[in-house]
Amino acid sequence: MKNRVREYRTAAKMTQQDLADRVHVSSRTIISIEKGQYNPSLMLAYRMAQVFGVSVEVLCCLAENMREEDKRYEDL
Amino acid sequence: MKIYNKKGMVWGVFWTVLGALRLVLLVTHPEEQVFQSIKGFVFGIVLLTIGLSGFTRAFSRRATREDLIRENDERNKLVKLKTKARVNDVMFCVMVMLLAGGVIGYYQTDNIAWAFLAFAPILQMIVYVWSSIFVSIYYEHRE
Repeated sequence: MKNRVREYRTAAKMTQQDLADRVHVSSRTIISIEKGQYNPSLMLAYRMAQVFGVSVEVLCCLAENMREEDKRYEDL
Repeated sequence: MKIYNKKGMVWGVFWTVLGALRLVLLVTHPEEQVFQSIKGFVFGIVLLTIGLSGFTRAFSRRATREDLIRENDERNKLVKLKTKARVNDVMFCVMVMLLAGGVIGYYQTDNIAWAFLAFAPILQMIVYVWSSIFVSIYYEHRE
């Protein structure tokens, strides 16, 4: 799943460890989220969104991801 | 001094005592072979280090927070679950192969030893199937 965590984190001049400390996870989790290898839980996504002052919808590109998911089902 | 991680402290004490006991035993009942003594000494030191580290970390707020994050990290939990699931799949395959090997070997050679090779996997597979049925029923109702 696409997300804009890296974009917002770099804009906020935070390191991955800084963000990890703020949202109570390991820095490895932040790395995986930024690479799109791991999808965060609702609570973690909300925590990160709060840190950056944006909505979960924007941070996790929910509209875009939903469109892509729908497309996968339509292409079946 | 405040204890932030009681569980960590208990484990720290446990490993420290175990390591210390190993070292004390090495002194009171020395091994005959030098290699065994060295192995025992290294083992004792490792246990003592793990124990003392766990013990001291229990009194540190920062270390306890790090331990808590590592323990409750959602990705770590997922990795652990996936690892267990994959290991389970591998073990099941091994059981099936042992079972097949045992049955084929028995029919080919008529040697009872092959049947015994198949016997343990059969028991394990019965337990596996029944426990997976009950566990899945449990989680179907709970989750």
